[in-house]
Amino acid sequence: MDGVAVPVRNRLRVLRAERGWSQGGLAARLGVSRQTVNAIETGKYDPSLPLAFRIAATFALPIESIFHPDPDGDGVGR
Amino acid sequence: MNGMDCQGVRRMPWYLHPYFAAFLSGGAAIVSSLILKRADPHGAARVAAALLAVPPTAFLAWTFARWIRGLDEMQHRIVFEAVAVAFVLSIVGAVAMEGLQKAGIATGFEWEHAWEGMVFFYAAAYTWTAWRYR
Repeated sequence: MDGVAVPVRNRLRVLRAERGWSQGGLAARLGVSRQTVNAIETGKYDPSLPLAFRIAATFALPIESIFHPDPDGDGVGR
Repeated sequence: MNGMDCQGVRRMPWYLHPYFAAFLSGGAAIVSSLILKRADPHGAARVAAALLAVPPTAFLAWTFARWIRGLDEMQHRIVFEAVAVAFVLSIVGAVAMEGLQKAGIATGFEWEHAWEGMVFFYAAAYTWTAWRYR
């Protein structure tokens, strides 16, 4: 292992849109700021493990279906 | 939810907000300076006037720490990255000013300028760090 951090991709924006939630609405459900939700969606910030579990619980999905490694490094879900 | 608004920030009364505490601290510093210059007290009164800004500044430090505890994890990262950058810049600035003072160039530099510089560096670093995570 070379010790280099692997960027993480997420489907947060897609999942949020499917449920018709705003960023502020999702932020309120997660107990974080809208700025944090936006940063996660745009790949500028990777959530901590507890927050990732809260996100998974909010969407009632396994973590692996929301977050996965991003070999291309842009961090945004496709 | 948990006393937080949609911005994920715990609601706080205005009298516990760091901005209000900073206003008190700055105001006390100004009043202290005015008392020392115009009234020119002596003895214990002079010490009390000189230290007038210390209690509100301690209150500012407490409200700032309380504000930080109410932030979410990413906001914590923004604040602490800004503090780290400001700390380094303050050291570099202090070393530069020390050299300039020894060279007789920046002879007007005082202790009060040091903390003013630190506040400026933190504000600039916070603005830049928050922009990075926009």
